[in-house]
Amino acid sequence: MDIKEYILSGVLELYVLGKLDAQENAAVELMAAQHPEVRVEIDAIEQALEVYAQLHAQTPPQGTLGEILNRVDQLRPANPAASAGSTPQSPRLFMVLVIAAALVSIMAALWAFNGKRQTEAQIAGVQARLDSIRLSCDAIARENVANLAELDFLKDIATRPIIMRGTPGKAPAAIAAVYVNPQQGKAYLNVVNLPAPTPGKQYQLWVIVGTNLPADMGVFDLPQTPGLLKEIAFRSEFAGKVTFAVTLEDAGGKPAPDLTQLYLISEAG
Amino acid sequence: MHIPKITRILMNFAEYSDKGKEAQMVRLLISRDGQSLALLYERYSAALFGIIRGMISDEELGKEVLQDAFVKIWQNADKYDATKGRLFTWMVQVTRRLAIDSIRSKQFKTDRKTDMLPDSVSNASSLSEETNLKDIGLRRIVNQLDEQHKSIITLLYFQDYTQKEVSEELDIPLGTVKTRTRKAMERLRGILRNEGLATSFAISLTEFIKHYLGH
Repeated sequence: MDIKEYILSGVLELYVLGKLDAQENAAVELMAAQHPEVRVEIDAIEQALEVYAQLHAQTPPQGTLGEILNRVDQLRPANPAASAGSTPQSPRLFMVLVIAAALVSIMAALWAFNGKRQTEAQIAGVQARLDSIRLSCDAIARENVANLAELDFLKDIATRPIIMRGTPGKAPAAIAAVYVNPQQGKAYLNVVNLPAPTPGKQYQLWVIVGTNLPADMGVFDLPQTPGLLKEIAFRSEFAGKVTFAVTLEDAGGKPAPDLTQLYLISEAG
Repeated sequence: MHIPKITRILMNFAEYSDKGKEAQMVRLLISRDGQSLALLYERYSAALFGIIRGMISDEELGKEVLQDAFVKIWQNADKYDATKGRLFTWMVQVTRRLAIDSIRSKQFKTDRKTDMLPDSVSNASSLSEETNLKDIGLRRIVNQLDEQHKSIITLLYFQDYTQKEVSEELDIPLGTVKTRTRKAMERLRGILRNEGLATSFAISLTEFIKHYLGH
């Protein structure tokens, strides 16, 4: 048969369109195998129809691919021959990945939550520390103001120290001083060294003016910081010659001193 | 830049008409490569769905057939013989067989010929074209085809008529179906060739403009 005539007959078109019976198909395939130009012609017809089909393409409904992939996935375990590839366990692998991802998410959330709590606790701690620093800073500032005032008081040439020394029988090493400033009308007690009082007892300060009986200047506790000045009531007599004394009395003090318990006394002057 | 549909199709076609790429895709399919099915779907689903809708007007049923077709193509990829023809031709054959089975099982076969194609071939051909003829490129190509050429391709390709059915539908002798099919396909190929030339010009113009604009 003339090949050109064969090609022009239209049998190849019907072959590609799938309109021939099995016997006719076999005949065309035999011709195509023997004659390359038949093969080329078939390919050209196929290409033309493929382009024509693409031109008439209609987009399938959304989700069709997903359903196909699901069906293929479900086929794999049911059909061992179809699952010969390297991905039969992929649905299980997928589940493992999903669970792993979920676990990682939960851990990350917990970590973040824990981190948040830690951060909050740290912030609270820092805040408390800041508050305490601020408080102590305020205290130091107040102390500093007081110290400066004391320093001013002590530097004042009108301030006169009256030193009290320990009595040999009770506290030979004890020492204290009263600073008086008649111009400022102020007086301070400075206990440098004095034994701690026995329980239920308190030291009491007395002042003796001339030959009068000792006058009560009140009880006092030992300063928490040695050398810290304690302001005491000022009396006009402090401008003249006075004597200061300290006795150990029952807590709260007494109207008259127990001279057997004399711990400190200044020289008259 | 907007590229007309016809140009896109021909550009894609130029890429996939390469036998090497087609063979590569078939190898991926046979090896059950996870991505190959999605690739195949992306490339061919719309064209196959167009062919299915030529035979089945119900969209839901058409969708079922399309799914069946891809599952079957996936399962039987190793039965495709590249020496006998192109991958798409084989896929069309698989799809068409499933569509016919579906129609028969639902006893649509007789209805199809009466309901879907009531009177004339022009009505029948309008079915598969009504949605697509909005595309200017396609309309231009289809308009270049004579009515008798267009109808015979539509009946044979999109509506899966047998030669005998075509001869009855168009009221022509059975022997004429073969020669008229040849004429129709020659005409179609000529038009596509001309469009192909116009297309390659459009592509090079596009490329030139892109290059000139620095994109």
